[in-house]
Amino acid sequence: MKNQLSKLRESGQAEIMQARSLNELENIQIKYFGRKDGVLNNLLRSLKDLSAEDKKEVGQLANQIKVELESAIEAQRVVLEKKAVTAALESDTIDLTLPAIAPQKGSLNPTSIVQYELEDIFKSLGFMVLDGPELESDYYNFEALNIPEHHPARDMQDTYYIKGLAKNEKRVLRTHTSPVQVRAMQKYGAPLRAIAPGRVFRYENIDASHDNTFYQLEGIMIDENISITNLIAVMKTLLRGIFKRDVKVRLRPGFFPFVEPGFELDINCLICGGSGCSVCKHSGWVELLPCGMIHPNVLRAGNIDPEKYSGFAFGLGLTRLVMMKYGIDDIRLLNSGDLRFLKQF
Amino acid sequence: MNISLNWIKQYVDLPKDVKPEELGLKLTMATVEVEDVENLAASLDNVVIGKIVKLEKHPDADRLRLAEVDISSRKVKVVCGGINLSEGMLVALALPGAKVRWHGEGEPIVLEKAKVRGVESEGMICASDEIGLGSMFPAKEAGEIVDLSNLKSPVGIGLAQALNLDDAVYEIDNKSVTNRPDLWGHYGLAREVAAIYDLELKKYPAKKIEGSKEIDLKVKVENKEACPRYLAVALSGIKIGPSPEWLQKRLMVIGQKPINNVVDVTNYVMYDLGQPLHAFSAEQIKDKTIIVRSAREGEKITTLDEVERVLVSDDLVIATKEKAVALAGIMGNANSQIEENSDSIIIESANFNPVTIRKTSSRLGLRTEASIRFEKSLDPNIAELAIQRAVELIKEMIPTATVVSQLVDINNWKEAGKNIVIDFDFINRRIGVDLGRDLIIKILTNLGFGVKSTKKNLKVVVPSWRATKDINIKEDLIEEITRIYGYDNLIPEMPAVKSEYKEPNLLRNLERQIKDILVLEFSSNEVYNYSFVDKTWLAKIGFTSEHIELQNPWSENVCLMRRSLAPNLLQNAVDNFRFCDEVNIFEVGKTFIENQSGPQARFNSDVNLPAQDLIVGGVLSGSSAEQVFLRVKGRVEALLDKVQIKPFYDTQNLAQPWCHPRQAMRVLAGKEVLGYFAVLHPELNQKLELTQPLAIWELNLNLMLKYAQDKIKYKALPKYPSVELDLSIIVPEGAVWQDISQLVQAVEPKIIKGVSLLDVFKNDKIEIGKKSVTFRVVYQSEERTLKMEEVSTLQKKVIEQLTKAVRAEVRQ
Repeated sequence: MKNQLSKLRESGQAEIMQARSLNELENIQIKYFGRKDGVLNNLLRSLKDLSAEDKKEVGQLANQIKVELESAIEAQRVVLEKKAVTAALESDTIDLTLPAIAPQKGSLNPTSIVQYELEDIFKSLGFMVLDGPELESDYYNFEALNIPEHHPARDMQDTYYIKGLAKNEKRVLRTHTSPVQVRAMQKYGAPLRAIAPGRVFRYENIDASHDNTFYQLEGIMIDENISITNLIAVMKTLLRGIFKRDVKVRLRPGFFPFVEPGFELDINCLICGGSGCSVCKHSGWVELLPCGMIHPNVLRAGNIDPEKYSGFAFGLGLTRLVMMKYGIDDIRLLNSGDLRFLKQF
Repeated sequence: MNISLNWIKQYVDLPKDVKPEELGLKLTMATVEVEDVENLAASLDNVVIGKIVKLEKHPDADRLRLAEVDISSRKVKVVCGGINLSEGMLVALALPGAKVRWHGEGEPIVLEKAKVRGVESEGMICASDEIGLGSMFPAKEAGEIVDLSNLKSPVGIGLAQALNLDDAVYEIDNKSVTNRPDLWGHYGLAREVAAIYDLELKKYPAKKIEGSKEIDLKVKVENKEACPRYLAVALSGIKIGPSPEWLQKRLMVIGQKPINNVVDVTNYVMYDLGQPLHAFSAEQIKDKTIIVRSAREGEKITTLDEVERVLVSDDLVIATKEKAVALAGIMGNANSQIEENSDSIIIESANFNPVTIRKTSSRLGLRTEASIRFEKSLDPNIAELAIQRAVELIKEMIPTATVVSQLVDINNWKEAGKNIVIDFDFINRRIGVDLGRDLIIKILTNLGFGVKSTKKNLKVVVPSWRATKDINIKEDLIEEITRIYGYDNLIPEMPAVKSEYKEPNLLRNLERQIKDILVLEFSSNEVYNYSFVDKTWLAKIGFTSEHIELQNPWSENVCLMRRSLAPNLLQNAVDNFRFCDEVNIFEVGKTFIENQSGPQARFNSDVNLPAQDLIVGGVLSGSSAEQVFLRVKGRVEALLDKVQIKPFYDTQNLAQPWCHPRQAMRVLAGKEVLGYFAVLHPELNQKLELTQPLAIWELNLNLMLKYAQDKIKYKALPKYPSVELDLSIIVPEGAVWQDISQLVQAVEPKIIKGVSLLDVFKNDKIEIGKKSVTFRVVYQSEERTLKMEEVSTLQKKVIEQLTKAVRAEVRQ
């Protein structure tokens, strides 16, 4: 019996040392310690035939061998596991350059992207974000903005008219986002800080740089003692938000009936940096943003006292900005619904 | 509008070191937008007068010839394709180094020696538009070169010198002067230049007209409102001929073609003062009586451009007793124009109502140099200066000319004497900085304003040339002061404002949330479509609802305002299938419905604009009708879930003709229809030649906002475990999931906490007309751990219910 046990110890040690894989090791474990047919168990079962004294002696030896073999198995397992990892590291290769697995990509229209960026800039400056009707009354689109009928300024904005009147009210597709100015003043009064991004319409021929439908972003700020120097400062801040750096600007007279004084704000041409190119017609400057101090007649139309309050207004060409940002050379793409274009954003 | 620097210099002594470009920039920054400065002399460097001494054929090209051109110092050989070349002709010869525009187009390039079809060419004989002289020497046909034989200048000298072109021309954007009637002539701009440089403006050279009584010239103004002032005078001894060189040059430089001495004078004065003049042949004015009257309805006249025009009673004409002789303020008639042999003329200098002129000119589509000026509200005082100057000039250049009538002046206009009182404090607050009293007074004075100052304020008298329109209020003076001071000289300062809560724009927030869900969770692409729809497209897809119509559509068919996003989205789908296999698009935009429930047309008015609700809609393609239908259902529910709306659906026939009549659902909340989703009508699939099923959906964001909630309340986590049992049943095909799930739930709502669908299918092992439905039932009590027997009993009840209600059999 003892003999058998010693042999078992030797064969067991040898087999364990020779195990080349975790699988083999597992089998060895079952071979020796398996409940049903484990060699060691079988041997121990025959203990019952021995004398009490032998039982004790052989039993102790058997236990000792059991512990020895078990720890040998554990030790070998550690070795083999390490080997397996090393092998796996070497053999498990994947092509890292295969295309990523990801849900299909959706996209916002580039105008939406830029619009939201601007809205966030203005919200951080405490401006409300407002809306207005796209189909407007002639009153809000023109009259309330100090552009009476037969005013030559109506030529500056070729207008789509709606067929028929609504109880004598002429209706138009708004030619600018400025009608929101008066609507906002009437609704919220002064002081007021608000922007109104939105769709506007011009009756004109469509080509690569003109569309009859495009986007503007109107802004107003009204408070006591708002001055021209305030206007310039806010515009500069705004432009820093848009272009994420300081941009050189210049302010020159511009005529818009709803502001007095009115300005054209030019920025240093981003293409040539001001040295002159075909984009800026060799002037080094690009017209970006008409603005001005709100005309007292417009404040009055908005039920705000022009003696007590003053303010400024500006109109940003949102579509133009989108085209500048992404280098889009054909305005028509924006309203085309063409997925080959839209999926790029 | 073109402005000549030399012309300006007639009225202001500019320092010699002021460069033309610098003045252009100053004008842009203070007054008007100068779009281009053309320095005529500089642009003609290396272009000289040459004389063609010999012409030969080009050996290899039929259209080209070899010209030998004498430029005094030597003879130059040039290859030329000009069609009007002849020996002895004086031409504009561009030598290497000259800047030319090929065929008058594109950016100028620097000329170099070149071989043209194998023959060396040392220069180029120019067409007028190749050297920027197109307006001075208009070509009659393509390929014509400038014939300078009339110039009696020696060969070899520079063209700029020969033409006396030491001038610069400013191209001014007309839009930037719509509000400035005084800037439509050189004198007005000279006044600005004087103010900008703080120089003196010379007095306008006008002399009183010494009248005589040879002719009894009479003027009757019938429509006084339309004609506030009318001046006229008759002259005899006129000899029509070319005007002197200086006058021709003035006009040519600004791009106007000289015609004859009388016409040139009227034009010159117009470009000088901005006041249009008209010269009639006196013989054509019967009884020497001019009548200014409204046109008769339907009256026909033929204007100088030989177009017959039918007038309405709003139009104003200049007439004799017999006939109209001019369309007032716009264009003369052919029947009264001065002829080459005219001996007597009548000069008109009038002021017309801007609205009258504007209405007529836009109705007739006839815009002239005169009409664009009159519609700007000209100063009636200038009419007098203009006629004085014109008479003076005619007498100067035609020594035989004499004034043969009194100067008739029908003046129905009274100078109102506009005064504005403005506080220094107000000026400082509006500008944001104190410029100092002296500077403010100097600027206003230089611009021609009368200024009286006290300690606190200024009394400003507005000069007549600014009083007709553009200067009315204090703010207008702020502009005058600040622009001349220079906006760029101001130091920016951020405004100090109170911080306060700003009401959020819930609709815009919702719009943005929804777009994010569609883009990020449903991989959808956002399109922007026009708000217009094409009526032929609507007809094709069978959309017959009434649409708001445009009065002046750009194209005949695209004349309606969309009342649904679907038609244009469908068009997008069709367009994209040319390039893409799949379409998954959406749009958020306003729709227009004429029910007057939209915003007010005026403050507190009872008139409302059309409803303009914000709609989100989309189109999706997929593998089967059921699949696309369920996918759009999924996105509709996800969007509604965002605002915690629990919608209910119905399957009533939808008004939208593009919806499949049996694969469509309306989405309701309360009693209102929020939108719909549907498979595209199969007929439309066929008509549009679509090869895969499409689903389409729309939701009204304004209504969604109305029913939106923010009411999520936390529920305690379950204390007792749940038991989940799966069940497969065979039911008739017509049994719908909604019924099945509700039946199951109803068995014991307190315990049955969920019923979720796992699978629906049909196959050949299932009887025809039936389908297999597999689902999972979740049993859970809030009070105790359920015993298995309880659950089994409930599951049996569920089966019984289903067997009874929908003839279900349990599938083994």
